Amino acid sequence: MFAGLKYALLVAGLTIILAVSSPLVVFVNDILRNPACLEIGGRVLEEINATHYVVELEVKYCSSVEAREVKIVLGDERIFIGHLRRGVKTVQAVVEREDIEEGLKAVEMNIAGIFRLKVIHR
Amino acid sequence: MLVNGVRKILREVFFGVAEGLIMYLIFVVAVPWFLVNAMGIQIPDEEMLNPIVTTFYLGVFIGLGVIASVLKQPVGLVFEALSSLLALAILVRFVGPGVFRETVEFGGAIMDVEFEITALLMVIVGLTLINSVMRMFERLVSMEE
Repeated sequence: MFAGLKYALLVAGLTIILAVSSPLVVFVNDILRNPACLEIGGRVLEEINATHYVVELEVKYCSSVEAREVKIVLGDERIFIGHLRRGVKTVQAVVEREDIEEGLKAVEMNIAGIFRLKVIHR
Repeated sequence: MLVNGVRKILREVFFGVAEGLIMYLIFVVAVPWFLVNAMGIQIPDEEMLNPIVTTFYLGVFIGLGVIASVLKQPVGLVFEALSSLLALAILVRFVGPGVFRETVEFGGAIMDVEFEITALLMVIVGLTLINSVMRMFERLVSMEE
Protein backbone atom coordinates (compact mmCIF):
# COMPACT_ATOMS: atom_id res chain seq x y z
CA MET A 1 0.00 0.00 0.00
CA PHE A 2 2.71 2.44 1.03
CA ALA A 3 5.45 1.29 -1.34
CA GLY A 4 3.79 2.90 -4.36
CA LEU A 5 2.98 6.02 -2.42
CA LYS A 6 6.61 6.26 -1.22
CA TYR A 7 7.96 6.03 -4.75
CA ALA A 8 5.38 8.54 -5.97
CA LEU A 9 6.44 10.92 -3.18
CA LEU A 10 10.10 10.38 -4.00
CA VAL A 11 9.54 11.09 -7.70
CA ALA A 12 7.29 14.10 -6.95
CA GLY A 13 9.80 15.42 -4.40
CA LEU A 14 12.77 15.13 -6.73
CA THR A 15 10.77 16.72 -9.55
CA ILE A 16 9.73 19.66 -7.34
CA ILE A 17 13.29 20.17 -6.06
CA LEU A 18 14.66 20.05 -9.61
CA ALA A 19 11.95 22.41 -10.89
CA VAL A 20 12.54 24.89 -8.05
CA SER A 21 16.34 24.79 -8.13
CA SER A 22 16.98 24.56 -11.88
CA PRO A 23 16.54 28.32 -12.54
CA LEU A 24 19.13 29.04 -9.87
CA VAL A 25 21.56 26.45 -11.22
CA VAL A 26 21.23 27.94 -14.73
CA PHE A 27 21.58 31.50 -13.37
CA VAL A 28 24.71 30.65 -11.34
CA ASN A 29 26.17 28.86 -14.36
CA ASP A 30 25.49 31.88 -16.60
CA ILE A 31 27.09 34.24 -14.07
CA LEU A 32 30.16 32.03 -13.65
CA ARG A 33 30.58 31.78 -17.42
CA ASN A 34 30.15 35.49 -17.92
CA PRO A 35 30.80 37.59 -14.80
CA ALA A 36 29.62 40.68 -16.71
CA CYS A 37 26.24 39.03 -17.25
CA LEU A 38 24.48 42.00 -15.69
CA GLU A 39 25.74 45.37 -16.85
CA ILE A 40 24.18 48.66 -15.86
CA GLY A 41 24.96 51.87 -17.69
CA GLY A 42 23.30 55.24 -17.78
CA ARG A 43 23.31 58.70 -19.27
CA VAL A 44 21.65 61.98 -18.46
CA LEU A 45 18.88 62.72 -20.95
CA GLU A 46 17.58 66.00 -19.69
CA GLU A 47 18.15 68.51 -16.94
CA ILE A 48 14.83 69.36 -15.31
CA ASN A 49 16.29 71.90 -12.89
CA ALA A 50 19.47 72.46 -10.92
CA THR A 51 18.91 69.41 -8.72
CA HIS A 52 16.85 66.98 -10.82
CA TYR A 53 17.73 65.10 -13.99
CA VAL A 54 16.04 62.65 -16.30
CA VAL A 55 18.41 59.71 -16.75
CA GLU A 56 18.22 56.74 -19.04
CA LEU A 57 19.45 53.51 -17.51
CA GLU A 58 20.52 50.71 -19.81
CA VAL A 59 20.53 47.24 -18.29
CA LYS A 60 22.21 44.40 -20.20
CA TYR A 61 21.34 40.93 -19.00
CA CYS A 62 22.70 37.68 -20.43
CA SER A 63 21.06 34.86 -18.47
CA SER A 64 18.28 32.73 -19.93
CA VAL A 65 16.58 32.80 -16.52
CA GLU A 66 14.17 35.68 -16.10
CA ALA A 67 15.08 38.15 -13.37
CA ARG A 68 11.90 39.56 -11.85
CA GLU A 69 11.24 42.74 -9.90
CA VAL A 70 14.68 44.12 -10.59
CA LYS A 71 15.46 47.28 -8.62
CA ILE A 72 18.48 49.52 -8.81
CA VAL A 73 19.46 51.72 -5.91
CA LEU A 74 21.15 54.87 -7.18
CA GLY A 75 22.22 56.98 -4.22
CA ASP A 76 19.07 57.15 -2.10
CA GLU A 77 16.75 56.60 -5.06
CA ARG A 78 15.29 53.16 -5.72
CA ILE A 79 14.54 52.70 -9.42
CA PHE A 80 12.20 49.91 -10.46
CA ILE A 81 13.41 48.17 -13.62
CA GLY A 82 10.81 45.41 -13.74
CA HIS A 83 11.33 41.99 -15.29
CA LEU A 84 14.53 41.30 -17.19
CA ARG A 85 14.98 38.81 -19.98
CA ARG A 86 18.14 38.17 -21.97
CA GLY A 87 18.97 41.34 -23.87
CA VAL A 88 18.96 45.04 -23.18
CA LYS A 89 16.32 47.04 -21.35
CA THR A 90 16.23 50.79 -20.99
CA VAL A 91 14.37 52.66 -18.30
CA GLN A 92 13.99 56.37 -17.76
CA ALA A 93 13.85 57.84 -14.29
CA VAL A 94 14.02 61.18 -12.56
CA VAL A 95 16.84 61.32 -10.05
CA GLU A 96 18.51 63.94 -7.97
CA ARG A 97 22.00 65.22 -8.74
CA GLU A 98 23.31 63.85 -5.40
CA ASP A 99 22.06 60.34 -6.27
CA ILE A 100 23.94 60.42 -9.56
CA GLU A 101 27.07 61.56 -7.77
CA GLU A 102 26.74 58.80 -5.17
CA GLY A 103 26.40 56.23 -7.95
CA LEU A 104 25.11 52.68 -7.98
CA LYS A 105 24.65 51.34 -4.47
CA ALA A 106 22.70 48.11 -4.85
CA VAL A 107 20.87 45.82 -7.23
CA GLU A 108 17.96 43.66 -6.12
CA MET A 109 16.20 40.94 -8.07
CA ASN A 110 14.18 37.76 -7.81
CA ILE A 111 15.75 34.97 -9.85
CA ALA A 112 12.81 33.40 -11.70
CA GLY A 113 10.62 34.95 -8.97
CA ILE A 114 11.85 32.34 -6.48
CA PHE A 115 15.26 33.32 -5.11
CA ARG A 116 15.89 36.84 -3.90
CA LEU A 117 19.33 38.25 -4.67
CA LYS A 118 20.69 41.54 -3.41
CA VAL A 119 24.11 42.89 -4.32
CA ILE A 120 25.24 45.87 -2.26
CA HIS A 121 28.16 47.97 -3.43
CA ARG A 122 30.24 49.07 -0.43
CA MET B 1 12.80 -21.12 16.49
CA LEU B 2 15.87 -19.47 18.00
CA VAL B 3 17.52 -19.24 14.59
CA ASN B 4 14.39 -17.58 13.22
CA GLY B 5 14.39 -15.11 16.11
CA VAL B 6 18.06 -14.24 15.59
CA ARG B 7 17.48 -13.93 11.85
CA LYS B 8 14.54 -11.59 12.47
CA ILE B 9 16.60 -9.41 14.83
CA LEU B 10 19.52 -9.35 12.37
CA ARG B 11 17.15 -8.34 9.58
CA GLU B 12 15.70 -5.55 11.74
CA VAL B 13 19.21 -4.35 12.64
CA PHE B 14 20.15 -4.42 8.96
CA PHE B 15 17.07 -2.36 8.04
CA GLY B 16 17.82 0.06 10.88
CA VAL B 17 21.42 0.52 9.70
CA ALA B 18 20.22 0.98 6.10
CA GLU B 19 17.63 3.55 7.21
CA GLY B 20 20.22 5.43 9.26
CA LEU B 21 22.66 5.38 6.36
CA ILE B 22 20.00 6.70 3.95
CA MET B 23 19.11 9.57 6.34
CA TYR B 24 22.83 10.37 6.73
CA LEU B 25 23.47 10.26 3.00
CA ILE B 26 20.50 12.52 2.24
CA PHE B 27 20.80 15.15 4.97
CA VAL B 28 24.52 15.22 5.80
CA VAL B 29 26.05 14.36 2.41
CA ALA B 30 23.63 15.00 -0.48
CA VAL B 31 21.91 18.22 0.68
CA PRO B 32 25.18 20.07 1.60
CA TRP B 33 26.81 18.79 -1.61
CA PHE B 34 23.85 20.06 -3.64
CA LEU B 35 23.88 23.46 -1.88
CA VAL B 36 27.65 23.95 -2.16
CA ASN B 37 28.45 22.45 -5.58
CA ALA B 38 25.27 22.74 -7.62
CA MET B 39 24.06 26.06 -6.23
CA GLY B 40 27.34 27.68 -5.25
CA ILE B 41 26.17 28.50 -1.73
CA GLN B 42 28.53 28.81 1.20
CA ILE B 43 27.33 26.93 4.28
CA PRO B 44 27.15 29.46 7.17
CA ASP B 45 28.34 27.00 9.80
CA GLU B 46 31.49 25.32 8.39
CA GLU B 47 31.75 23.28 11.58
CA MET B 48 28.87 21.17 10.27
CA LEU B 49 31.16 19.76 7.55
CA ASN B 50 33.82 18.69 10.06
CA PRO B 51 34.42 14.89 9.61
CA ILE B 52 34.12 14.33 13.39
CA VAL B 53 30.70 16.03 13.45
CA THR B 54 29.46 14.22 10.33
CA THR B 55 30.68 10.86 11.71
CA PHE B 56 28.83 11.63 14.94
CA TYR B 57 25.64 12.26 12.93
CA LEU B 58 26.20 9.01 11.04
CA GLY B 59 26.40 7.17 14.37
CA VAL B 60 23.30 8.87 15.76
CA PHE B 61 21.27 8.20 12.59
CA ILE B 62 22.29 4.53 12.53
CA GLY B 63 21.62 4.20 16.27
CA LEU B 64 18.17 5.75 15.98
CA GLY B 65 17.41 3.66 12.89
CA VAL B 66 18.40 0.41 14.63
CA ILE B 67 16.49 1.26 17.82
CA ALA B 68 13.39 2.28 15.81
CA SER B 69 13.58 -0.93 13.83
CA VAL B 70 14.30 -3.34 16.70
CA LEU B 71 11.96 -1.96 19.35
CA LYS B 72 8.32 -2.98 19.35
CA GLN B 73 5.79 -0.48 18.06
CA PRO B 74 4.65 2.07 19.02
CA VAL B 75 7.87 2.70 21.04
CA GLY B 76 9.96 2.43 17.86
CA LEU B 77 7.91 5.24 16.33
CA VAL B 78 9.33 7.69 18.86
CA PHE B 79 12.86 6.99 17.61
CA GLU B 80 11.68 7.14 14.02
CA ALA B 81 10.29 10.62 14.77
CA LEU B 82 13.54 11.57 16.53
CA SER B 83 15.52 10.56 13.45
CA SER B 84 13.33 12.77 11.23
CA LEU B 85 13.58 15.67 13.69
CA LEU B 86 17.37 15.34 13.76
CA ALA B 87 17.38 15.41 9.95
CA LEU B 88 15.33 18.61 9.97
CA ALA B 89 17.54 20.13 12.68
CA ILE B 90 20.64 19.39 10.58
CA LEU B 91 19.01 20.89 7.51
CA VAL B 92 18.05 24.07 9.37
CA ARG B 93 21.55 24.27 10.90
CA PHE B 94 23.06 23.98 7.42
CA VAL B 95 21.04 26.68 5.77
CA GLY B 96 19.77 28.74 8.73
CA PRO B 97 16.75 30.83 7.74
CA GLY B 98 17.72 30.39 4.10
CA VAL B 99 19.58 33.68 3.73
CA PHE B 100 23.27 33.62 2.80
CA ARG B 101 25.56 36.64 2.94
CA GLU B 102 28.91 36.78 1.27
CA THR B 103 31.43 39.53 0.55
CA VAL B 104 32.97 39.31 -2.91
CA GLU B 105 35.48 41.41 -4.81
CA PHE B 106 34.52 42.12 -8.36
CA GLY B 107 36.52 44.36 -10.67
CA GLY B 108 38.26 45.96 -7.71
CA ALA B 109 34.97 46.78 -5.98
CA ILE B 110 33.89 45.08 -2.76
CA MET B 111 30.30 43.92 -2.74
CA ASP B 112 28.02 42.31 -0.19
CA VAL B 113 25.89 39.63 -1.79
CA GLU B 114 22.71 38.59 -0.01
CA PHE B 115 20.97 35.53 -1.31
CA GLU B 116 17.69 34.01 -0.13
CA ILE B 117 16.70 30.40 -0.83
CA THR B 118 13.75 30.16 1.55
CA ALA B 119 11.46 28.69 -1.16
CA LEU B 120 13.77 25.75 -1.79
CA LEU B 121 14.25 25.26 1.95
CA MET B 122 10.48 25.17 2.46
CA VAL B 123 10.14 22.52 -0.26
CA ILE B 124 12.82 20.31 1.31
CA VAL B 125 11.41 20.73 4.84
CA GLY B 126 7.85 20.06 3.60
CA LEU B 127 8.86 16.91 1.74
CA THR B 128 10.83 15.68 4.77
CA LEU B 129 7.82 16.21 7.03
CA ILE B 130 5.44 14.47 4.60
CA ASN B 131 7.86 11.55 4.33
CA SER B 132 8.19 11.31 8.13
CA VAL B 133 4.44 11.36 8.71
CA MET B 134 3.95 8.73 6.01
CA ARG B 135 6.62 6.47 7.46
CA MET B 136 5.03 6.66 10.89
CA PHE B 137 1.57 6.05 9.47
CA GLU B 138 2.97 3.04 7.61
CA ARG B 139 4.42 1.67 10.85
CA LEU B 140 1.12 2.19 12.68
CA VAL B 141 -0.85 0.41 9.95
CA SER B 142 1.60 -2.51 9.88
CA MET B 143 1.37 -2.71 13.69
CA GLU B 144 -2.41 -3.00 13.57
CA GLU B 145 -2.21 -5.66 10.86
